[in-house]
This record gives sequence, structure tokens and C-alpha cells, in this order.
Amino acid sequence: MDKESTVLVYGTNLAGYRAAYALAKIGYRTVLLNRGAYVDEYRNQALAQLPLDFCWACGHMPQRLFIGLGAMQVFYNADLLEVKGEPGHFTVKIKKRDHYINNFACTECEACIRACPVEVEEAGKKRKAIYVCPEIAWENIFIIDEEHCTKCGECEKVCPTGCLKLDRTEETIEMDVGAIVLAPEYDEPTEDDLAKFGFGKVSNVVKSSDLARSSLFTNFVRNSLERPSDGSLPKSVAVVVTPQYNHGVEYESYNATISAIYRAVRTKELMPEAHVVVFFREFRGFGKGHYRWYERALELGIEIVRAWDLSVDKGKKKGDVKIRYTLGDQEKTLETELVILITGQKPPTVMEKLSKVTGVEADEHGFCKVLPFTCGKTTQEGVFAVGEFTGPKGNPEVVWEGYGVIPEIVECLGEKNFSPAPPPQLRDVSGEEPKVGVFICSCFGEFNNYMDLDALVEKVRDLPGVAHVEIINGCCTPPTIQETAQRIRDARVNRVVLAACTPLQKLLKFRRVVMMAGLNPLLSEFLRLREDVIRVHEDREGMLEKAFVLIASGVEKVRKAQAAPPPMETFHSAALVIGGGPSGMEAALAIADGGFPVTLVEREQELGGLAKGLRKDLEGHDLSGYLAQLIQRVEQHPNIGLYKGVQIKDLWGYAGHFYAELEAGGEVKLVQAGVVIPAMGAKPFEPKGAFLYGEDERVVTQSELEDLLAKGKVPPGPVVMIQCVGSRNESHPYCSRVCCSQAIKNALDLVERGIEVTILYRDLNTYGFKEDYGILAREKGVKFIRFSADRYPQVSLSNGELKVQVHDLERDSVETLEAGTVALSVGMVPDVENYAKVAQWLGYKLDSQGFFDTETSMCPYEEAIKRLMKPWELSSNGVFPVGLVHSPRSFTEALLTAKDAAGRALTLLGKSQLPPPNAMYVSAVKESKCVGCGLCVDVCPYYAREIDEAQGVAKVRPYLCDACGACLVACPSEAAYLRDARGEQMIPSIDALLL
Amino acid sequence: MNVFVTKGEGRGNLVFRALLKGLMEKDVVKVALVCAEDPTGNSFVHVLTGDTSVVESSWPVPPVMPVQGARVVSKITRKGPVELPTAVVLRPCELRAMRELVKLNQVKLDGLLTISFDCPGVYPLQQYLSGDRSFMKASIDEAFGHFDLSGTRPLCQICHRFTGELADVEVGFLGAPDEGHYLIGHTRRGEEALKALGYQEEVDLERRVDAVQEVIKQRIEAREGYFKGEFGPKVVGVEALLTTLHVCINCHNCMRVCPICFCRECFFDSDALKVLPGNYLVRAERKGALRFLPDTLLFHLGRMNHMSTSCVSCGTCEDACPNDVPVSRLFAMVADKTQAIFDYEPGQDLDRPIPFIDYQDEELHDYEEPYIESTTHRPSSS
Amino acid sequence: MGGNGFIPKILYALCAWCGTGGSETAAALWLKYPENVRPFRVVCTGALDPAYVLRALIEGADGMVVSGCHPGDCHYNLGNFRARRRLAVMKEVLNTLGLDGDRLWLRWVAHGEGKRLVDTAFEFDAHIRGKGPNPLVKRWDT
Repeated sequence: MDKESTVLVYGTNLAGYRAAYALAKIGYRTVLLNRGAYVDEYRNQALAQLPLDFCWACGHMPQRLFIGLGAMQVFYNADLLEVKGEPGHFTVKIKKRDHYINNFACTECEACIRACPVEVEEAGKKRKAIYVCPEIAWENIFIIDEEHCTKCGECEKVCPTGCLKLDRTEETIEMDVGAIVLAPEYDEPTEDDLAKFGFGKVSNVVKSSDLARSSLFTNFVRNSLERPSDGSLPKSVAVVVTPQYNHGVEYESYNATISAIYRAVRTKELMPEAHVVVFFREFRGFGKGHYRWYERALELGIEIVRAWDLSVDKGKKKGDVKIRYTLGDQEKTLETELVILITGQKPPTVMEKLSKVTGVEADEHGFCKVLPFTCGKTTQEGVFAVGEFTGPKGNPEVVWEGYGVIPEIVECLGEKNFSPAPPPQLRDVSGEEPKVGVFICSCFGEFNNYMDLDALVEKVRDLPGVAHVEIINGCCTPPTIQETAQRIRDARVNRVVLAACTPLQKLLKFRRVVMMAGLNPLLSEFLRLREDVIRVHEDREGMLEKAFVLIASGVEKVRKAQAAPPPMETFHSAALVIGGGPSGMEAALAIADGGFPVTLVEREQELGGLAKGLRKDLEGHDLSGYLAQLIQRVEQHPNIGLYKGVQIKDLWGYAGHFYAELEAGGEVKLVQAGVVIPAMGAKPFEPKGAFLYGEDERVVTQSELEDLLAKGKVPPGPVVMIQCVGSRNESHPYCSRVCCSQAIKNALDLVERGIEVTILYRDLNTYGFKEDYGILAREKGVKFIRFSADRYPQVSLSNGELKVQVHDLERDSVETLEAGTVALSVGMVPDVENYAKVAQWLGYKLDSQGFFDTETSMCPYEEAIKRLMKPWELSSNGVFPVGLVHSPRSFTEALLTAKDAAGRALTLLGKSQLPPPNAMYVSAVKESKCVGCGLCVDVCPYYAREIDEAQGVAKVRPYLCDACGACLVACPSEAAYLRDARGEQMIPSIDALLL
Repeated sequence: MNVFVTKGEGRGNLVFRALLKGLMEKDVVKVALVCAEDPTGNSFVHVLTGDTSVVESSWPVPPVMPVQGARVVSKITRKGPVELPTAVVLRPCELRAMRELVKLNQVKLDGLLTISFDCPGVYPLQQYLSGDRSFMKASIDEAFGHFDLSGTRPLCQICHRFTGELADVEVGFLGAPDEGHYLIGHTRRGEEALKALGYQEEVDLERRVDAVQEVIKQRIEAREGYFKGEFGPKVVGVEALLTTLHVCINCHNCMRVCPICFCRECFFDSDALKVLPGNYLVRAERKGALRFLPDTLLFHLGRMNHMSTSCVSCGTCEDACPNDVPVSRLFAMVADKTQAIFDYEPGQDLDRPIPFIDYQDEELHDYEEPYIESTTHRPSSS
Repeated sequence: MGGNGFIPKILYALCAWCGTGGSETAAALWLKYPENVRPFRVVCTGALDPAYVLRALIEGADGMVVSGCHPGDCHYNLGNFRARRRLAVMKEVLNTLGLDGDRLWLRWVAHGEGKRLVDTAFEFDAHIRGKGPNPLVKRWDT
């Protein structure tokens, strides 16, 4: 029996969404179960920890698009009841209750809301028993509040499209799926969990996540900081990272401390006069650019207090908040006017139920257990778990897992079962005189309540170029789509202006209407009568005038529109991996297992890279064993062309068309690839000359210490470890992420052997579950002394003895430690020359720290999540840097980036022809006007343009083009243009807008 | 940097003729791109020549600038670098424009030996064509090193980027003793060229630097004073500006001669602005009347937006204007401001990208309107 | 509101993502703003050609306000960074020539920020009413 190919995704964390989109793009159908009634009813990590205070969530989650194409089904108010069978052949029982309003057929006219006789007061605001949620205009879901609804049926009576049905009941259905992905959401700590911080008890203690949410409509502004007690603006604000003081209750996702810094910086920017303090034990911002934000906070005069413990209570003055904290040995208090809590994450509440239903096991912290060295494999074969469900992590990790799990899922599935329907045949209108048809939607008569559409028709009729005007009933429900397409045909026009409502939501439907009428959508313009006129204005005269002007402008725009088909280009389905370390090998294997040829080039004679010396990590995973397994598989894989001891001589091309010249033993070989995966690894920082390293053999690096220990050579104690050597300084302004774990690992090993260990540190970066080991180390007697960035410890020799002098920041005292051995925790640094060479070949921009960035990242947050959610894998020109070339990270974390890259590559490979992401809406070049200045090439964020050296003109690589329009502005001539916004369309349309 | 000083050889065009001839004789270059007087003696043209006798009778630094040299170099090298080593004498503004065009892929530097100098300015082209040409020719030749030439174009008189330091070989007159001049090799190519000519002695430049700084200071002051005081009030404001542009006949000559306007077809000549007749009627109705040819202000403002950040204040546009619109001064005044936004100096640093293709995450916040949430949707009606 | 019956013509340039999203959020919330504020859409603020802005200010707009995704959040990664540079130059050109660069505003509005968009429309409308008509609009000799 053939394996099933549909995948069930349970839950709405971003990893689950991303996996669903990726599967659709590869060609598999997905079914998504949402426990709630809309996208964000259950908060997911990214949104609970909004890095920026504006929401893009639904806008960049193209759920509608995938549903519209038929690749995805979403069940709301759904749950998973039962799972039977085995990988490839699961039968699942699902409970679901469709929305009372089918939101694909709903026009959002709100007639139902007006008809509803039940008024409900909620949080001081009045609404009806049927209302819209969440009101951020992309996924507006109409919800009936069961508690107050009387089922009187008035709403159903007035619904013009018949999409509202009150008799929707809970259904239980069974379906066959090939694999199951568990992606439930984030569990924020409750009021009880946060009692220690006064949350719920003390009025001016607020959660940052609530603050972000309440300021969605305006962004984070001064008013967002109004105190709940009296609405006044605070003159002092404290930001507290709660999970660091709440061990065992909540866990710290990797974003927490940088979120605190970011919140403090934004607060200080809005209120420079305010006193802003951040409380945490340790700063753990190891992401791209995080350390710079930390420094910025200091520059702005934000006080950072590394309190060891902390509690919050009412202050002396009414409304004030008192923070009691310990610093060093001292008890201190701070009175402040507002406290903002950066909260952590609880173990998932659905864990127990999902364990029962699917058989997956929980780990010791209560999160879903994932098998070592996999991205999402659980203890139950064929069932995968991703995102915050499997433990605390950073936003980038969450989204990477969405793609990372793809290669693992695809193994369980049968033949692909989804491909989008071919477009209708379009009529050739070249040579015809432009005849514009204006179709004004009445939204089933709804719009007549607000403006005189007949008067509008009369006004529009006289516009030059308009050959036909009529009012239509709708153009977004299946019957009205058909009907409107026929009307366009009957009107015998060749240009269309459709004045209806939001194309943000309905673009595909509108384009389909035009295409069903046989016209290229480039010949049409969609206007928002509802969003731009009806709902936002009151004055009827003014509305009529404005509607007319908008239509006039649309008419002018289409009069000079020209049709063109979507340009297609070929894509070479093979990958080139540069570097044979663990991440390079992992990516190569995942792609090769997917059935595509991979060329793997390693400059050394041996595979393994920097990982060769590794044994076990802090958690005890057998790294050397896994590495050996990777090497063996790579060497034997039939789809991998392995080149060891080989240099890349040259590399050129672009996504789909890369060429590399390999040189080995005097021979040169040319290989071709569609995607390139840079995996060259990084280098450990060499502390030459510092701390007597290289001068006294008792001063070693952590790796050297580990080697000694592995060889059974016990170093002379006591051991003093110095953290942040070559990290978080001017030349390397970032945290190397792994050194603290390495120090703790060695320290635990040493104390087991009875050797005294003191760790001198700035911030102990034992993020996520690693915190357990930090605590363990303290329990086992490892001593910790914090020093400050401007007073590093001094290592000296006195009568042949090593001495370390350190300034204890917390006690403000200078101590001199005797040391038998000094271990330096050195950071990782980019392999500058090698990176520069590869980056230059690929036209890739390195980040400010010298590493490869996966997407141009100018955000304070590593990999702005939005960009990661963006469906377009080619925005990085088909170049997917993995592992240490991206940023310092551990062995297993490097594997995750490799899997993410492989997942992204798999969505591209195997498609011999790729249309542009926006079909016919691409940028183009008028070659006769182009002088090849290259400005458009430089501004293009998608590598979608190049200069054809032979002709000296710009060329577009169509499938890389996302039609952003940067080129048309960069081009001082009219040589670069967007096909739907040529200069000759735009200028008259602006003129008409000024009527 | 190799620096040589020559004494008593005189100043003016003869220095350049000798320099070019020397370079050709020593085979440092095979070809020279240089200005020469046209046979009628009316004006000057650029010629490309491998013949030393042509060089001997050339006018490397003529008293006028009929064609911007950067355009000439672009014409020659746009499709590829020169095939034989070529010396080219450029005024500092021409050189800056040429370097700006390198960034825009319109000039290839390979094979070029650029020579520039302390430019005393040029006479307005019209004035030269209809005036006492031999006087002006003589005045220019005598003016090197004095920087007190009267009658040059207004923009030349307030030019503060008048030295040739961006060239491979700079010929410096300011500060040079005994009616001599400095020869300064700023690049390896320039140094090698000077060595090939047999220059050995190296001198320090202190005297020159002081002299140059002094003039720069005066010029910057004069420039600011001119735009703020004398010129500004005549052109700033709707009334003044439109009055200034009244005489514009929309010939677009200013754009055509501009070295930075490298487009094959200007946006403002393109189909984008070729609207249907009805459009003109509507606009005429709104404004009461519509001036023809239309879109004069749009053209000038549009060009300023497109290229004022790259404007080198060479003044060629004004020379080309048949109706005496002070177009180069308008541009220079605006360019000073737009370049200051980015602290950008066109042609200066070849590695510095054109401002429009570059960006910083945190910058220009002064141009963003800060938002303070209003508590009501409607401002109180008062 | 506003003295002597002057109703300015205001163009609101919106990017197709956040700016437009903001306007649609406003609509979903039925937030009102003045009828004389007319949306002009471009795919990205980075696709707003200076020529469009100048055309509007010369041919009939009393003011133009531009809104798009916040820096760092551009749908196309970099568009708004480039837009900010373009806008800075536009404003500087207008100011230097005494053409009032303050008739051109740049303010970021995200998809969810419907209220911010509406507030901006009101604020800009009041700002332009305070300034009075754009003198270029009625000049025949532009």
C-alpha cells in the first residue's frame, strides 16, 4: 500500500506554520488544527515575545494563499482525539467546529453585526454577540459569543452570501495522514507563577507581552507606558527578566534578556528623562547584533543591575512599586513607578494529553522530548514536534525548525499530492484600443447604505477612456466570481478597474476574476471602496468625491497598462556544499536523501572540520560518535560527489545557475548547482600573548584543558577559568555562545576529580536548559566571581607560581587567586579571508561581525522573524549559510541551521522551471534606455538583477524578483520599471488623484 | 607620495604641453586626451592624439569649458577601457565627475593617467565666444597660482575643490616658489610616470598645503555668503524661483551637457510624461492656465532629486543654457545641502557608494515625523 | 475645523504592506479620518519615485504624507531604508529652494497600527490647514 502524503499539523506555533508552507511548496498537502478560532487566539512564542511592538503576524503568514490554492486546510476550534497506525499510514480522529461564518465566503459586510439584537459589554466596550476578531485586518474572523448568543437567527437571515450558518456543530472526522507534526503554542506563566513579582497584586506591574499587545494599533508610544493605577506617565521604570528569578516555574527563552534591553532602550528613547533600570542575573544576548544593543543601552544611561535575587511589592508612595534585591552580599531596595516583566515560558499544558493521544514522551522538564541530533523526531516514529513545544529557545530556532523538520517528515510520506491548478487561457489584446470597464462592487447591496453608487456610476461614466461602468453584486464568492468574469467578457472591455475591497486579503480572487474573463491581470487595477471610503469616512458628498477620484486614478493607470506573461526560467536541481564539517555534512545528507545530487567540497584531506576534537557536550551527547556516523554516511552516499583536499578555484552565477571550478592535483573540474551552502566553519580565537598564554604552559584554552582531561592527565589545581576571552569586546562585539557551556562542562569534570575551580566571568550564558548545569556547578562547589568588561583579570607569575588578580564586581574587592592552571574560554571568530572570498564570489554581504547572515538582518533581533516567515526562499539568492559561518553556536545548534538550509533547498530543487513569486508582476528593463550604470543591481535586495557585460545593460533574473520597485526608483531614467507601475501609468494616475 | 618641485619653468599651458610631451616621449603613455583650439580660434575641443606635435600646439587648460571632460572620458571608455595608455588632463571638477561616473559604470579607469591642477576657473562660454578671446587666453595662462582672476564664472569664483589631488599626477601652482610648480604623484601610476620623466628630488609640501588651505577657507566663506546673501534671496521661494525659471525654454540642454546625467534618455523626456491631451486640459483648468512647454519645475526639481548628490558644481549646465538661467548655481546650492545629509562628496572616495544605494540602520531620524499618540481620533474643533 | 473654507488636498502615500495594512486595520475598526486624505499606493516606500511626489506637489496636492513599514520591518528588507534617504533628499531640495519641505512627511505605520494611521491623517491634515494652500498648485507657470 502506498504511503499517505498529507501531513497533519497540530497547533499554530510558527514552526508548525512554516513547516506547513514548506510542505505545500514542495508538493504535499497539509491539514492544520487550530485549537482556537483565529490565528493568534493561542499565543505563540514569536508573538508573545514580540521583538518589535507592531504585529505583522497574519500579513506574513500566507495562510489564506495556501488555503486558496488548495494546498492547506485549516480546522478551527479543533482538537486531535485519536491517532492510530504507523508512519506513512496514520488514521487520525479530529474534532472540529467550523466558524459560524465561513470566512472564505464572507465579504465582511457586517450586516450580521448590525442585525444582532444582543449587546454585550466587555472590558468597558460594547459589542454585539457576533463580532470581529482580532481586528488587524487580514484575517478578520467573525465570532459568535456562545455565552450571549440567543440563536435568534437574525444574523443568518441578513447574511447576503449565505456564509453564516448557525447550525454549525462540532464534528468528528477521521482522515488518513502520512505524518503528524506537533506544534502547539507558548504557555505564558500565570498570575500565580508571577506572584513573586507582584503581578496581579501590585497595580503598576505589567507584562511586556501585554504591553506589546495593547500598543498594537499605535506601536510602542509614550501612552503605552501609562500606569494602570492612574494613567500617569512614570518617571522611573524597571524592567525585570522573571525566569532568571523563577527557576523551576518558568523557563527563559533565549530572547528574554535582549527583550528586556530592547524594551528599556525604547522606553528611554520615548522618555529620556526617565530613570530606567534593567534587572537580570545574567545578560544572555548571544544573537546577531545583541551585544551592540546592550552597549547602546549603557550609552543611553540605562542602569543594568545583575541582582542575584529579587522580589516585588507595593511601594511607600501610592502606586509605586518596591523592588527588593540582593547584589553581592547586600540587600537593596528600589522604589520605582512602573515595573515591566519580561516573562518566560511554562512547560506545555497540552503535553500530557498529546502524550496520551500520540504516544510522544515528555522530557524531565515537561516539554516534548526530541531525539538527540534530530530536529523534530520524537520517541514516536512518524510524529514530529517543533517550536516552543520542545523547550525554551529563541525565535530564530523556532522558525528554523519549521524547515529543519522537513527532510525528516518527507521520509515518511508517499508521492507528492499537491500542485497548483494551471491558469486560464488569456486573450491577446495587443493592437486593441484600450477600453476600460469599471466594475463597482456593492457588496451585495451593503455599500448602498453608505453612498450613492448610482451617482458614482454617472460620474465615472464620463471619464475619458471608460467604455463601460456597472455595479456588481460581488466578486469574491464563488458564484459572484463566475458572474463578474462573465460581465467583464460581455462588456467587451480590455482593461478592468474593480472597485471593491481589500486586495491584501482577496488579491488572488480578484486576479482570478480578471483571468477568468480572459484578461491578463496586469491590465487591471483593484481599488478599495470599502477600506478607503466607506468605512473610514462619514460625509456622503466627500465620500462620493473621493470614490470618484480613486476610480479616475485607477482608470488612468490601466489605460496605459500592457500585458505580459509571467517569465519563466530554469533551475538546476543540485546543491554545492562548501565545507565538510558537521553542518556541511548534515545539510548535504539531508539534500542527498531527498534525492538530489550534492557536491561537497572540503579543503582538508579529512572530513569533520573544527568538530574533530569534540567528544561530548554539556548535556552528554556523544558528538564524536555522531560525527563518525556523518562521515561514514557522506563517504558512502550515492548522491554525494565528495571532494576532499580540494580547493574551489572560482565560483560564479546566481540562484539556479551556480558554477564552481574545483581544483585538485592540477586538474580542474566544473560543477553546476542550483543552491550553494557555505559551511566553512569558524576559528577559535587565539589568545596569543594574553594572560601569559603561549608563555606559560599552565595557561591553556578550554579545548586544550578538555584534551588533557580526556587523556587522563589531571591538570594541577586549583583551576581558574577566565570567560569572554576574545568575545564581547571592540574587535569581536558578540557573545560566542558556547564558551560558558564548555567552561561549566570542564568545571564539573574537574570538581568530580576533587579539583577546586573558580570561574571568572562577566555574564554566565547558560541559556535554556543549560541553566540546570550552571546551578549544578554552584552546588558542587564551583566558585564564581563576576568581573566587569573594563577590568579583566590579570595573570602573573610570582616565584614560579601562577597568580590571578581579579576585581570582584559584586563585592567591589580585589582578590588574588592562586592557580595551578588557568583555562581561557576563547570565543569563535570568523575565518575572515575565506569568508571574504566566498562572499565576494556569491555577491553576498557579510554582517557587521564578519559572519554570513542568512537574510539581510538589520533588525535588533537575530533574523527578524518576519523575514524568516516570508515564503520566498530565494531572497538569499539560493545561498544558505549554515553552522559557524552564520554565527557561533554549538554542535547540535549548528546541525539545526543545516537542516533549515536543507529544508529550504528542498522546496526549490526538483522544480525545473520556476515562475517569479509574483507571477507576471515583475520588474523589467527597457534595454534601449539602459546605460548599465548598475544602480538597480546595487539596490536590489534579491540579487534579481545583473549587468550583462557584453551588452552593457541590466538584466532581470525573473524568479528572484519580488517586484519591490527599488530598481525603478534607483534608475534615474525610465529604463527600469515594474510591469504594473510604468511611469506612463503612474504620472497620469497621480494627476487624476488630484482631481 | 612622490613630490617634486620645478622652478622657473613658468606657469600655464606650456607646463602641461611639456608634461604630456615628456610622457609620450618616454612611452609612459601613447596617447593624450587634451583640449586644443579649433582652427578658427573660436573655441576649444577635446582631441585624442598620439602625435606629439598636436600636443605641442594644444591648449590643455583652455580659458573655457565647452564640453565637460568627464563626458568625453565616458564616451571613450564606457564600452571598455582604453587600449593604449592614455594621459588625460582634467580640471578638478571634471575629474570628480569622472570618478563619480566610475561608480556609475560609465567610465573605466584602466589605462588612464589622469592629470589635474590648481584650476583658476574658466570664463563663461558665451562671454568667451563673443568677447576678447586673446585677452582671456592670456589671462588664464597668467592666472595660475594667483587665484585672483576676475570675470570667471560665478561658480568658479566660489569653488573650493579647485586642486587636482584626486588625479594620478597633480600639477600644483599654489605655494610653489619662483614661478615654478609642484608635480605630485598621488597614485602608484602617477609616481611611476614622474619617475620615468626623471624627477628625483622630493620636497615637502608644507608651503603648498598652507596656501591651498588659505584659499579653501576663503572660498568656503565666499560660497556660503554667496548662496545665503547674494544669490539665495533671488531664487528662493515660490515666487522667486518660478520667476528665475520663467526664461527656461525647456530645451533640457543643461541635462544634456551634464556629466552626471548619464542616462540615455532622461526620465523627464520619457513616455512617463507624455500624457494624453485631456490631461493638459484638466491641469490647465486647475491652475487657471498651463504654461507650455510644460513641467519646467518638475524637470529641474526632479533632476535635483536624481543627481544633486552627485553634482560636482562644474557649471557646464549654465554655460549651455541659452537663456541665462542660473541653473548651475541653483544646483550647487541644493547639492551642498543634499550632499551634506550624507556627508558625501561626489568623486572623492571611489569606495564610497552613491548615497542612494547605501543606507544605515540608524540615521536620518530628523526626517521622520515623531508620533505621539493622540487620545482622541478627532482633534478638538476650535 | 480650519478657517476660511480651505480644504487641503492631501495624498497619503502608502506602501502595499504595512502602510496599506494600517489603513485596512483602521477600516476594520471603522476609524474615521478626513475625506480629503487620498491614498496613493506604491508597492513599497522604496518604490516611491521622487518624481511622483514632485508631480503631486506641483499639480495639486497641498501636502503628501508617506507611511510604510518601520525600519527593519520592510517586506522587501531594505525598501524603507532607501525610502528614508530619498525622502531626506526630497525634503532638503524643497527646503533649500524655499518650497516648504514640511509639506512632505514621513512617518512609519505598521500593519496593525490603524489608530496610528488615522491619527497621522488627522495630524497632517491639521498641519496643512495651518499652513494654508500650497502656492505651487495655483501657479500656471510651473
